[in-house]
Amino acid sequence: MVARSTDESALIAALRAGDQSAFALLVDEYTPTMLWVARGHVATHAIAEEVVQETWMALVKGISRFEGRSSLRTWLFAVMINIAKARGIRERRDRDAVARFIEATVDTARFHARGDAHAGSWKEPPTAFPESPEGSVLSQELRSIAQRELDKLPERQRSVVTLRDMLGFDSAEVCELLDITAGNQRILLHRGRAAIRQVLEDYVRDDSSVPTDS
Amino acid sequence: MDSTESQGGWRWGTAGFRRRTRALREWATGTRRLRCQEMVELVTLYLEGALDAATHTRFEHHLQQCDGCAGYLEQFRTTVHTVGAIREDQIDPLFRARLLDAFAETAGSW
Repeated sequence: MVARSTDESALIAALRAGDQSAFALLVDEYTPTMLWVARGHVATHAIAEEVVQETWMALVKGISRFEGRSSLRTWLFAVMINIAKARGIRERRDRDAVARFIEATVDTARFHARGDAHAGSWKEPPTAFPESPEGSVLSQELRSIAQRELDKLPERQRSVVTLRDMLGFDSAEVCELLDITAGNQRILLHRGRAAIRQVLEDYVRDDSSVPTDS
Repeated sequence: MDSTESQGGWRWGTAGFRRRTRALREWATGTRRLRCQEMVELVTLYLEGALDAATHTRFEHHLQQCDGCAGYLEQFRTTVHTVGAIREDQIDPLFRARLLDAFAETAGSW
């Protein structure tokens, strides 16, 4: 979640007065995550930068009318996502998200097959990932692996997981930002999280695997 | 698949018959034990508090008895936590300068 290190209403007041340093503070706080989200919607980094720039200019031009009814962050992302959508959407790899839900999010080979007395149960039960205290090498590794996988997710899964889990928006906000139903949001969230869980599990397994006795 | 099961209903062994009767009763009364393979698809709904009351109870009941699914849930929680710890705070200085210039122009044109 983006740190709320700054007093938003004071910054907005300064912005209305044309204070560039206030603008710079807001830019530093929100631009990196705005770019991350925008890149999920458009084809290139350059277009993402244009989208973000256009969003900031929309704020500056409309600042006198900004009533602060929604938080500044929510406003920025809502406007930005609309601009990004208008810019031609990145190839839709997950157009059919609902149909895809019937696909399992965990490899079916992990479970006993039909006809077996234990059908549908784990063959090898998963165990919790090892402890990785904040700041440890392992936690940094897991974070960068998670981020790489998040970036690879189909567009809408990437958006939902980013907004919910990385930036901490709640589910109602995300449904509104992306104009999707609560049910669809949960499906996308689940699929995205499951994909990231899988790569983390693969990493942890390989990392702790003892050499085979060959 | 064992041979008694594959040859038609009237040949089921006693154990198979009991198992099917139980399965049918559980299905009819909505108390069928969730399979692990079903559990993994319900984890997000569970964490969101979006399961209906009956399924929620069945989910937790399974969880108490199944180390694998408890482990899976923990992995899922760690995954969510890990994504929440991702920090994206780098900004290309050229892009930053461009934004500040644009601000100066726009603000100056009021």
